[in-house]
Amino acid sequence: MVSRPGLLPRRTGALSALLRSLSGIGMAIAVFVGMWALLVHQFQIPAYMLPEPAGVWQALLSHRAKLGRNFWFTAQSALAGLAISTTFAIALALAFINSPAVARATFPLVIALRTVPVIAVAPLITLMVGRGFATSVVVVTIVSFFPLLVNLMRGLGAVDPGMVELMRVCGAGRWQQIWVVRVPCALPYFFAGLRVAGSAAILGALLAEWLTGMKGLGYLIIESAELRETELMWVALFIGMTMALVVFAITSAAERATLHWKR
Amino acid sequence: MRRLPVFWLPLVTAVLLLVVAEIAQRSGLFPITVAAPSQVWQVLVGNPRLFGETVVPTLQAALIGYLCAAAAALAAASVASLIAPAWTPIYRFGVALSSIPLTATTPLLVVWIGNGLSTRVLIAALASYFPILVGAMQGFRAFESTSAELFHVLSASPLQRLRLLVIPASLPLLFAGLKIAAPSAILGTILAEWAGAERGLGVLMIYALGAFDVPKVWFAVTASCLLAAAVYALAAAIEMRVVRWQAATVLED
Repeated sequence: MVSRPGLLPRRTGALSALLRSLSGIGMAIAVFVGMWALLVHQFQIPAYMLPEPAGVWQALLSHRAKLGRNFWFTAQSALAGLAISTTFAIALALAFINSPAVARATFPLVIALRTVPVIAVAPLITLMVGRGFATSVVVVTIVSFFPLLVNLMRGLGAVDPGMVELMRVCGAGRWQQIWVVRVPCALPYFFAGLRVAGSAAILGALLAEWLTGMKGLGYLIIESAELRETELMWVALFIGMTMALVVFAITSAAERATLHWKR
Repeated sequence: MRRLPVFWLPLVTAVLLLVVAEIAQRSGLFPITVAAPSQVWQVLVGNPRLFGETVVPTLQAALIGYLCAAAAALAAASVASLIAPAWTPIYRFGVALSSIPLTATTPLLVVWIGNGLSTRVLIAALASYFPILVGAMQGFRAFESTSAELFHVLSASPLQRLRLLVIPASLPLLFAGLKIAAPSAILGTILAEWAGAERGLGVLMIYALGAFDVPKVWFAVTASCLLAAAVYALAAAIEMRVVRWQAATVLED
């Protein structure tokens, strides 16, 4: 394969690329808000269907304490759930790589977990662990575990057999092999998994809060929809989607940054 | 003889697990949030109207939404396979539709179109559209190019080409999409019912959770899972009939 020297000195180009993408995002937002305001104004859309951008901005300012509190709750539960599922996925993937027996014993369970429809069992989780933080964390863990595990296993297995052979010839131990060869090779896969898992985690947290109905952006969305506080609902919706997009962007960047290992 | 255990082993295991759960619950080994299987069964048997007020409305909305989604996806896929430049836009639109997070936007749709049947149908359709579209779009061009050339050489009419070449070749992929989409329609309907409906499994979940009625929550959850599994199994059964017929005709040719 042709070596591409442009791949390594990425760090200098990263900042300008970031600025460029940021300005692109800013322009997209400006165009979006402009079209939105024009649409509402032109067609006289009633506020309950689509409030004006100014009204939504106003709602953001006047409810900022409430929004901040609920945002923080959602972010915390998504992060806690992601941390748990990442830990489990890494441990399980390493166990699978090291021992086929463990893989055979636990894989049916993992598949069973995968086929459980979260929407259907979320009420059970709520019932068992209570209305609040724990339910969100469990739901987030369930929805984010599987993409992480699949990608980690694929990544740990995607290593060039020649490299493993070389390590063995040089007398490297099993953990040395994993740490020096398999982990760097698995990193891009891990971040690709985290990209899927991260968005799923935010949405899973929203879903759980919707059901538990105590705290969080999901609760805020459903409550403001029921109270017909449309502006607040839109703010909460935007914050939730922005969270998912930010997670997506960060993990995509991390995936690209670690790709140079995988030439 | 070898096929017997494949079917019986899971069944025996399930029955055993149910018996163990029953005994464990009765002897107080489980927390009070776990219902005994007999209690869950009692929920269904004790309220004769419950089935018609929960399972039936959910199934109805999901079925209508699923059929609408299937019709729309098949139409879109047909257009895409007939008009080459339309392929990418139709696919992109499908991707855009599927990337709308229903969890976040269902309350919005309820505000927009109310909490009637049409909202549930729309959300069920949105939840099941994309897999059917992907299956149909890939299926409609899954025919072998050599067979297509043969049809061309024998100057087959477009209708003959569709009936004898494109549709038979598309069936495996088409059914792969239809199968995945069926449980999604059920789950989408339940999601829509959480946001507001009068009857249905999702409504029962919310009410039972609010009332801390443990057996009813378990009933709603079990019924949802079974319903999702049942529609998948139904789609798979239809696939087995249809695709086997297709394989048979191919062999005859």
